[in-house]
Amino acid sequence: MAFNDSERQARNLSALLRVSKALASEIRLDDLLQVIVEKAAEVLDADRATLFLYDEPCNELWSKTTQRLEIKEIRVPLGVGIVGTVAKTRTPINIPDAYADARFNPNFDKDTGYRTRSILCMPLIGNGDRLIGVIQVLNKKDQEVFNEADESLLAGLSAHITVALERARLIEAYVEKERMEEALKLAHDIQMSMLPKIFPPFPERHEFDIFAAIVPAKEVGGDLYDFFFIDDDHLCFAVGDVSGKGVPASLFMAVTKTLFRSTGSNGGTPGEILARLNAEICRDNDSCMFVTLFCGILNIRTGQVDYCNGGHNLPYYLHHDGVSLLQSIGGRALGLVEQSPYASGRMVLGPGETLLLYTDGVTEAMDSSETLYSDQRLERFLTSNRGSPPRQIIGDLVSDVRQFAGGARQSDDITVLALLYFGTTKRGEKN
Amino acid sequence: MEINEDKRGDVVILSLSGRLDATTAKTFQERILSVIDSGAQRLVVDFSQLEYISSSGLQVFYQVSVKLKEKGGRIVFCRLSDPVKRVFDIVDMAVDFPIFITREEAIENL
Repeated sequence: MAFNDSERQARNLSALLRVSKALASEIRLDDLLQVIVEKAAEVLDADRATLFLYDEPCNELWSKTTQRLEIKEIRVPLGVGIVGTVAKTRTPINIPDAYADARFNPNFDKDTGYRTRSILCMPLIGNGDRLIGVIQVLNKKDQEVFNEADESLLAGLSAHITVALERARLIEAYVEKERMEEALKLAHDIQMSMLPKIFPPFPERHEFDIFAAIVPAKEVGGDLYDFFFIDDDHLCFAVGDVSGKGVPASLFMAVTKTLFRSTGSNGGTPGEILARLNAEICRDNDSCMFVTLFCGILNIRTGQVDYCNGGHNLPYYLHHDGVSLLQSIGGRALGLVEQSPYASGRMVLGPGETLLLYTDGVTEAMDSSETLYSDQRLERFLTSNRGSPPRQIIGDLVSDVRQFAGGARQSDDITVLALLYFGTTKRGEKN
Repeated sequence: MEINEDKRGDVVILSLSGRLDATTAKTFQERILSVIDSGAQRLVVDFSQLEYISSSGLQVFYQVSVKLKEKGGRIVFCRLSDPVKRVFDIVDMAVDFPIFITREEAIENL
């Protein structure tokens, strides 16, 4: 008897080892389910095995992998039938004769023509006491019933199955997350490719210099900038910031950018352009997403800038005596109220003066103690760097913000656009 | 963020504290819409304890105002904290939402 016991133990151990190896090599959930039922039946000397997984939101068990071409999904509420009871009580059940047990539901037999005799059913309990599912083996071979040794064997096997299932689920979630991130990165690249990125953009123009940059946050955001000539003498430029984050913000940004190009190209004052753009964006905007946008039009012959501020941070005017904010003229953020008025303001850039547009990613950049970069810091920086050309001022500003933030996570896109006016004399000099 | 709910007659006063940003906006949206769904038509939002509001937060108020307009309700703001006031000034929220210094004023003007 002692010999038999140790022989059985050795056999069981080697069976467990085989199963454990098989389980370890399967990471795809569907394949894994198949391996589990095959191995469980084999090791337990059972005619078949069924694995039920716990569907937490429905509080039900479900199974797809019954052997012999059974592909229909079975669903069992917790507490119903034998597997339901095992799941609910989290205790194994060993039944020598199914038809003598009141909990047994013979309907499955009726449907499939199968004849269930003995049942051994075990709960699968995962990390943190979470119910993962139930495994059931049916009809011990040679008309036998499942004994205590089978119970401990299936219990051992269940531990391996549980680990394998949890791991497969983790891997699936991880792969899914990777896929999402990949898609987001792609969306972001497409988004960035819509912005003018070649500098200097108009090498043949000597009346002004323009530079712009976005430092994207890790999460896809909704900042945008743009500039283009409406006609030979008028340069239209803008910086905007879409509400919210993630995919919705980036899609909304892409739409805004496209609409801005088309409405801007049709000309008019900045106020007229934003009024048209606003009406377009408002159409079918049930989610109340909005975009704050500053739009200016520079007359490159005179330095005159007409502008309209749609709820955005006011740009800074960098002149010889210091820096100041533009006068607040415009209207509300775009996308909120269809019939909104947008007024246009006017200022004149003298030779050597710069307009600096930005988004709140600059002023709201935080260091590790959650202190904001703030308007004051920006203003101080601009005051001492107001003589620098656009590319340098933006490069230095971004460095300054980064240095301020230290290692703190960048939570919002940082966007800056600088427009330096030379006047027509510079062109005269070149000629 | 935290949302405290108070009632004065049929007026519901929501006091916000903490940060109303992309991560908390969804919770706040569900909460305030459920207040409206349960029949409230006159809302006051008290911002005195709110440390930060982002565009995602502003968006919720515009959604709420659309919903209230359909139902003939109203929403007004009061007691803006400094950071909230700064953002409201930039986007000119006062054009679309009446803003008052005290709760009493806000309730009287609903």
